[in-house]
Parts: sequence; structure tokens; C-alpha cells
Amino acid sequence: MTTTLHPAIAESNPLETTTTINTLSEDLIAEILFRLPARNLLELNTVCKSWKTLISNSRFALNHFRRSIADPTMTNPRLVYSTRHFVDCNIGFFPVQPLLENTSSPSSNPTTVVSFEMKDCLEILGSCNGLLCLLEIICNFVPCTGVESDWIEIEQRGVEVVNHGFGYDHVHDRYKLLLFVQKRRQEPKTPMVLTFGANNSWSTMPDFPFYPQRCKGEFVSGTLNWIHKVPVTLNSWMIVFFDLARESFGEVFLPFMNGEPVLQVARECLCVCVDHQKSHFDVWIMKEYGVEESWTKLIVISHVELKHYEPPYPLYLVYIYENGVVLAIPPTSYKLVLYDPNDHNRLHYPLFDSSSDGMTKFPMSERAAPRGFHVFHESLVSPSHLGFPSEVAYWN
Amino acid sequence: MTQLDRLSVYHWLNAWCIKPVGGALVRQEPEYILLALMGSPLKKIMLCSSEKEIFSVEEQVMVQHSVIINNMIEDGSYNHEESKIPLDCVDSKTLKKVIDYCTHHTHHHNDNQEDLEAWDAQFLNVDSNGLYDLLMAANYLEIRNLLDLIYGTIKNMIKGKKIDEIRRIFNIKDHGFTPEEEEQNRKEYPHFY
Repeated sequence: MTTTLHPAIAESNPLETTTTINTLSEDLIAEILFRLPARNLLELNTVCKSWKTLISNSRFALNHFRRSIADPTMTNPRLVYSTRHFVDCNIGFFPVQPLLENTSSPSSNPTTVVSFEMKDCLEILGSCNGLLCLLEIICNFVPCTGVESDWIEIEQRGVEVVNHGFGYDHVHDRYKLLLFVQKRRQEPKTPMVLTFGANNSWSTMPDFPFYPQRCKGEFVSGTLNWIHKVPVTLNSWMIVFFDLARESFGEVFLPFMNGEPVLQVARECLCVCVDHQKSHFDVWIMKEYGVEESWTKLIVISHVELKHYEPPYPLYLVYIYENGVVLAIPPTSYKLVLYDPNDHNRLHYPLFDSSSDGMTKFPMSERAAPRGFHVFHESLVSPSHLGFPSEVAYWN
Repeated sequence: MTQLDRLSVYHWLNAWCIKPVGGALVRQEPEYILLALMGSPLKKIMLCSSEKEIFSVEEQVMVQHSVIINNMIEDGSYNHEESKIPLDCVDSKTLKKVIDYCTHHTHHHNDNQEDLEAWDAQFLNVDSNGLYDLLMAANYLEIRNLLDLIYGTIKNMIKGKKIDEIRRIFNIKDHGFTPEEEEQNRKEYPHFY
């Protein structure tokens, strides 16, 4: 629950000018700091040593993130992308909230670009609790604090990462990366799990029941999820998950869909987007993970509203705002689109500053699709909390 | 909670007050059943400040707001006839304020949000010592909404302020950094200094 300062108190209250508060215990200081966004807390690190110790603590960072996740003003959700082109060692990110507001004028929120020297072809594997996991080799990076971990090599040489999923095991307080690697096409894929920590440990899975068909596993509630086609059937899909704590597989119920569902995560829940009967897209959300009855139809977007639509390409959901507006990449248009289900289904094409993108020859607003988008929330969680070497990569 | 018409309930109960006791059917006095049904809304409890001043307040009011007092009443450690709850770390002035807050929010919980916020703003129109004492009391008594209000106010006090101001507000005389560290901090966040 957030409380805003009433105008009456701001004007007349002596508190504003003359207050000092006697020394508060660490618990109470923490309660105050929990209510500030991650960005402000970075500054507050400099107030005094005890505050710095408190804010840098990994427990504090995680608790702060969990308490702030429901409020977009606290977590400042951002879209991060890489271009996946050769000799491109950059990632860019920009905040999601202003896209909603500045739809009719050029955005004044430039994209922040971070360069990683001497890397080629960066790919973002996933984001979790404010950490980004990047692949060239592998490293963890936190855009908010700018801390970058050391790069880790994949044990096997000369393999290609085919599928991946990055997530947080809350039972053991560990971040894990699940990779399926392959030496050559047509060869079997090997699953491997990397547990980040003081000794980054790789383990191979002895046996596993499926090969994910899509690239990225979606992280929700301690599990990585993929859509999987039910074998032998024509039109039937299910969701398979990998439990990060138990390192085991399972299945989650998915209501019958009339087309191939595309899995996304929005509002910390699993969503699927389905091209339904070739006339509209349905977006379903599983409000409570694992609970069959909590599957709810959230939005219906008809094909007519999406210009240039050509089947069978799916609609990629990127973010769902508090007020129900959807940020998406419609198939074949390569632009980010804001779709408002409440406003006669009008489309807006948000403008954002592509000139300072400087990442490749392809400006943002024209070719959005080749970039892989991930949503992340700002947090203080840091690779240094994981126990292995990291340092600050850039000043934000 | 709607106020029941005590008289009509009384008459209704009068006709039906039958309770089995030891194998026999006995008429239970309606006053006691009425009290049990309505959860004694006007029942009072006694709170004792650090200055030994006694404050009488509706049980329902304190039970709704203070987790500590609610637990005491529920687990039976508070005896209505004899006890008072000693609050040795809360002085009279602060206790009175806390009681005001809880009473207002219980009786006015149906008011619209703006009125409640205005009342809260006026309520917090206190000097710095008062705010600190309120925070300590609300923390001790575990009054969630008062705590949220105070934390929110303090958070707004420090938002956007420079480092000297924040150190002053929190009475931080010795920041604990070496001169080199302080220099480094200045470089990292020049606008904050």
C-alpha cells in the first residue's frame, strides 16, 4: 500500500522543513527504504556506511524487489533487446511506461545502449528479478546497478545453444540457467543446467521427456515453461515445465486451443496468445500458476484491427499495462504496437528515439521483430550476491 | 457493520433463550446472549501509558487496528474485569494520538478516500519528536495502516532531497566513510551532493 503526501501536509507541515528523526533501528530504516524505487536506493548507498551495508545485502535486494513488483512506478519496467546481428555487441533498453503516454509526440526517453567490448552477437537469454542473462559466452548483468559478472564458458565446445531458460530457484536461493545445446543440426540436444554461484556448477540431466520446440523458456513461479505439441495429435498442445528447485519436469494444464498457442509472461503470470479461427487473437492468462480454473480470457484482438496481418505468424505479446493496454509486435509489421481493448480497439504506434540507438544499421521503429525483446524490472539484485566475481560495467 | 436494534433482538431472544445445562433445559438470560452475538461493540478496555495514565477505549476499535492488542484479547490474557494493558514505552500524549487514529478510522471507515486522507494529513501535523514517538508506538502495537501512513510520510520527506538534508533528517552525524570513499561517492553521484 502506498501513501501519497496530501497537498495540505506538503504546504503547511513543519515536518517538511525542520524535522529530524531520532536514530531508527535497522528494521525501521529498511521499512522506509523498501518503499523507494531501486534507482533512489543506489544514491542512498552514499548516506552512511550502515545504510550501504543494508542496501547491498542480497536478502534486502530480493525482499525489496518482491515488495515492489506490483507497482510499476517502483520497478520501472523496461524493454531490453539485442539485435542478434554479427559484430554487434550492444544491448539497448528503454522504459515501458512512457510508451503509453507519449504516443503522439516523439518520445523524450532515449534508449540506453550498453556495449560489451570484444563480444560478437550478443543474445539475451532471459531476465529474472532484475538480472539479465546474456549469451556470447554467459554472463549476468544488471541494468539498474550496472554490475556485470564475469563471463562463464559453456563446458562443451563448439555447440550451439538451441533452447534456454533463465530463472530463480527460491527454495535454494540460486539462479539457474537451463540450456539445450546441439553440436550440429539433426543431432540430439543435450540439456545442461548451470547453477550460478561461487562455483558455477554445470550438471547434465540424466533423462528428460521432451525437447522444447520453441527457443525460450518462460520463467514463472520457480519454473521454466514451454509450449509442447502433444505427440501424435493434430491440434493439441500442452505446457511442460522444468521445476528449478527439484530439477524435474512436469505438465501444466492448458485449455483447448484452436491454433498454436504462443507462450508469454505478463504481470508475473503465464499468458498464451492464440490465433483463433483465423479471425482474431485470444489472449489467455493463468492467474494462479498451476491452477486449472484460473485460466481466464483476458483480451480479444481481431485481425481487422491489425493491419498487414498475414497468417500464420503469431502475435508477440511484449507487455500488458495496468490499465489493460497491450504492447505487442504484430506479425510482419515489425513495429511495436499499443493496442487498447477499451478504446474501440485503436492501435497506436509508439515512437521512441531510434537515432540514439546507434546499435546497428536498422533503426528501431522499422525493424523491431528481429530483435529479441525481454521485459525486466529494475532491482538491486546483483550478480555479486550470487557469490562470483562481478564489477560495475557502466554508470547509469 | 450495521447497528442492530438491540431492543428488538432482546425481545426475540427472550422468547428463545433455551440452553441445555447438565441434561436439563435452562433459560439463559438474554443479556448475555446478546452480548455474545454482537461481540460486545461497546465493551471497553483499559490502556495504561508509561506515565501511569489510564485510557478507556472501545475494545472493538483497538482490536481492529492493533495486532498486539488483538492477540492479547483473543488468547485470553486480558481479563476485562480486572486488567489494564500496560504500555510502558508509550507516553500519554502519544497514546492519546494513537487512540484518536484508531477510533477515527473505525468510525469513519466508510468515508470517501479523500476525506480520510485529509484527516490523516491533519493528524500527522506534529513536530519531529511527535512523529518519532508515533512511529515507535505504532510499531510496538503493530498498527499496520498507521505504520504505512508514517513510513509513506517519511519516504516522501527524503525523496528528492540531497544527501546533507537526508543525513540531517535522520540525525546521522558520522557517516562512517573514509575520505577516499566519500570522494568516490561524490564522483558517482554528483547531483546528490
